[in-house]
Amino acid sequence: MKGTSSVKLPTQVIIPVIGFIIGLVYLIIGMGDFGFWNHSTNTPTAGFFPIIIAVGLMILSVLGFIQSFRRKSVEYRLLNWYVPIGFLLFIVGVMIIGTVPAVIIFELLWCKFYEKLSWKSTIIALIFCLILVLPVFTWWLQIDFPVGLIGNLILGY
Amino acid sequence: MENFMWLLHGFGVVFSLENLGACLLGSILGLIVGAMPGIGSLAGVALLLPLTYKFNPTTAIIMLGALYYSNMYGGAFSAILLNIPGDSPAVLTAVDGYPMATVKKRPGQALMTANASSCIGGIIGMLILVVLGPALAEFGLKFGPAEMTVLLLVAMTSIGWLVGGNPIQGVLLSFIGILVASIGMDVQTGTPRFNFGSIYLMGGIEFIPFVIGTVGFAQLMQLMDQKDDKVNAVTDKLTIRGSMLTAHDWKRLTPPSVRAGIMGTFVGVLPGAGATAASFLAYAMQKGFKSEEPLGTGAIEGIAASESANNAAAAGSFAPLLALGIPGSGTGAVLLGGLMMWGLNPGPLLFSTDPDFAWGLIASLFISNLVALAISLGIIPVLLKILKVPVRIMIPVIMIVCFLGAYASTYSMFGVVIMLIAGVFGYIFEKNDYSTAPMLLAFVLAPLLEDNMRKAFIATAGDISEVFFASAIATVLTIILIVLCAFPIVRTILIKTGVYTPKKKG
Amino acid sequence: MKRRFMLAITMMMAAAMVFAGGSSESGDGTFTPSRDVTWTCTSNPGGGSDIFTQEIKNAITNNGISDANIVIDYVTDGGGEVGRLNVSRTTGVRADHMLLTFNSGDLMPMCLNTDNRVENFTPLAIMAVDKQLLFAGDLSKYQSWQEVLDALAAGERIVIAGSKGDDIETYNALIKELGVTENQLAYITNDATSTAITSLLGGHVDLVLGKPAAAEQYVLAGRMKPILALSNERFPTELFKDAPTLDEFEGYDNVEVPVWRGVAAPKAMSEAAADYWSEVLRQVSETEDWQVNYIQRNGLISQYMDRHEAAEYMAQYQADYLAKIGKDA
Repeated sequence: MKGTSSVKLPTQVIIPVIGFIIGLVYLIIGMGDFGFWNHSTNTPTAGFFPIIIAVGLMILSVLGFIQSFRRKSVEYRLLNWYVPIGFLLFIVGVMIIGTVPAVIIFELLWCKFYEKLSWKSTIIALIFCLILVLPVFTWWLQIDFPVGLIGNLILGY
Repeated sequence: MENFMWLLHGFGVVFSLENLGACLLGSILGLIVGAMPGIGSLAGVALLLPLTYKFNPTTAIIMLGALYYSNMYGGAFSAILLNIPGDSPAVLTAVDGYPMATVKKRPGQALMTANASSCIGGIIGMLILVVLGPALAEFGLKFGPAEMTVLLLVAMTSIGWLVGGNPIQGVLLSFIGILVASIGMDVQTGTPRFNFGSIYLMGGIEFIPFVIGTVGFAQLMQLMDQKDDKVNAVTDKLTIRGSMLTAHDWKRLTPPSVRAGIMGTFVGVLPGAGATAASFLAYAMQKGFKSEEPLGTGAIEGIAASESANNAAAAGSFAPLLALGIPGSGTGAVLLGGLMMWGLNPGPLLFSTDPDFAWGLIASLFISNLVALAISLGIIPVLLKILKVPVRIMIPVIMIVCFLGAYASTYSMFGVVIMLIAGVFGYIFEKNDYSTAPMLLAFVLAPLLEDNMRKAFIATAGDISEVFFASAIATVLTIILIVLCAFPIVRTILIKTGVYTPKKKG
Repeated sequence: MKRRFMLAITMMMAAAMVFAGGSSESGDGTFTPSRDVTWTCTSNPGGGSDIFTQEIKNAITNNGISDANIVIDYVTDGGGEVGRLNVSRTTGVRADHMLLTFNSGDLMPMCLNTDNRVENFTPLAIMAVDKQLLFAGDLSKYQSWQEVLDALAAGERIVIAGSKGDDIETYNALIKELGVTENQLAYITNDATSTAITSLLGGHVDLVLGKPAAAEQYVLAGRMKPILALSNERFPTELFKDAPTLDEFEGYDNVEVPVWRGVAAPKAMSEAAADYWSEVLRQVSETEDWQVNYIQRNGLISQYMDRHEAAEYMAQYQADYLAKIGKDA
């Protein structure tokens, strides 16, 4: 199981398609909300520059789309996606139980239960992260990381 | 010559045990803060400002100057070792620095190159500042909206040098970057645009989380492929001896550093352009010169150009700050605030009313440049230990570092989410052989271009020719722009018609 | 071994909780700052808002009014809306240590472009009333207001650079009074007056519209010259007293859009902290530093309002403005 499963996706075709859609959205909003040129003052509007770029993007997307058929689909392994998935769960953890507990749980789960590292390595990684979070960022640089819903309840914010 | 006498006088002011101690302390703190992703020199200087209240003004400003300078040395560390550029000028350092450290297995030399060329760039910048003094600031003033527009167009054209193999893909991604950057508030009309009704988007997409995601986080996803490799990427040469640059390396890094240093100083003087534009232009310029290895594959020349220009620009930005009281960057502003705290009036009169102070500051920048170099060379062996850590332990730890950097630079979970989204897209782009560096640079430069272009259009009532030929400077830049655009076309025609045969790539 | 580590971590966590939640209110309900104070300024450094903020900070530190270490944070994204939004949403102990430079020039665009309102803040004080002038640079084509009027009459196009917010309001009032279009007398918006001054010194625009504080150094050095006071009477200060008002020219009435400068805080700031800061600002407004170095030198009008008066004043100002632009409160 361990991340060996993979899937082929035609992202080389999808990227220009998305590019085209982005260009179209910007073109429509730009023309609709701001227009291209302010004729009374003879100056560009807020839409001027984005509209030029949006049109350029649409043209390039068409060219890129034609080009993309000559290229192979890319193989995506599930393994690589453990990183964003794990990170998403970590973010949820931060919002619920707060940064420090989320860091501890995340490092324990990842190092000990996913990677099956030794306790020594796990603890070193964990201590390193906690040193960054608490003494360096929170106390010295005065960045207040979220304490999460539970932290808010305890601290009565 | 008179200026050099003043500089000597400045050195006289600086050389006391207390001032040198302040310089040393500032350099160490600056290096540490600079190495933290998400904490730029701005936050560093602002947070450490109170430490200096207890000192006399000269000592205090020496410490701040040292801090500001060494900060930029620190910025290269995470770019080279982790592929996480902590600030925007470091994006290009990562482009060559990370491959040099991992693929070429010369991490020590990559760090040394960055530091040595930073030092060269800084010294060149300071020398120009001393020789030209206030005249340098007046030169910067010559660049109005029209001149800046053409200059930025030249800079944007050189994205073409960067995109590598497939120009369509490179430019396509750059355009997406520009559109993402246009989200937010439009300054000229004071209205929000492309924010899709979201108050979060009204503030625009912050660059730091965006870059940590596209470069750093995407890198982590790729690293998963190597995590079970038994042999580590780099195992030997992790001593100071193994990190030394060879005579040949020096020969490679010196010319680009000197060129980039001179150019970077002048770009740094320009209003609002700053270190990012400088390192970008220097890197693009290096494309026009011979490099032993292609840029982007871990070439010493690439690191040298980007780092030298970056530090030279920082030196250059002191000219408008000291001579006119115009802060070129947020960091400059905090320094300016510091000056005001001590009862000094930075502005057109500073050089004549407080020469001790102004020249003392310049002298201290020289010293802090050297001190920062010495300290960072000293800690290179320690930093290299990072590379001995197995990849499978690195991954979860760097994930936390990405979180800290993204959060610290925006004070909000919104920045963290942007980082994650940018990371996933960055990974997909890399998988499809799209290079992301042009997108990041377009993201930084396009808003500057748009702002200046629209100001120029208002000034000329929409007359395009008056923008391109507004002044002698604008005209020269326009000619450069035309040559840059025409060059690839003419070259292709010459090759196709057989008039010119390119040499084989060596 | 393992247990000792866990113990250490638990202690660290506990310490973090205490640190993050450490209340700064002492037993008797009064407040003293217990950490660095973040002061958000939504304009670029070197501009009028920045100078206002720096001067208050200097007055606080130099006169020992508060021991707090104040860090000025420049958040200009989204025309300043992001900085204002962040401040309004700050909660917890951080809210007691968060201040915001808040002027009429900030309130107007905020109401125009967003749903954020004064009610989402705790107003702390109004400190002063400021007005604008028009300046010519040493490279400008026009060195007096009469020359500008003549040029306009001759159909020439003149470009003014200025900051956002209230400066635009003043510019609009000016072209309305002059009866010219925004094409004849064009306006370039900058993030702060300092940027506008840069383009004037380089000779890229004809005039700068700005408040005295941001221009003072340049007038003193002879790089800029005030040519018109956008005020009902001439400025009393030496540097600016030569600038005529508009009604000194035949056929025009004065243009004056007074700008109040104030300080606000997050809505979540505690009562004790709000009282504390309002009092600090009152003391600032009475110091010699403030009166001489800021108010007198720049020709401002000193006008302290405590937090209750300020809240009422700002709310009324907002209501009037919303009615003017036809928006519901």
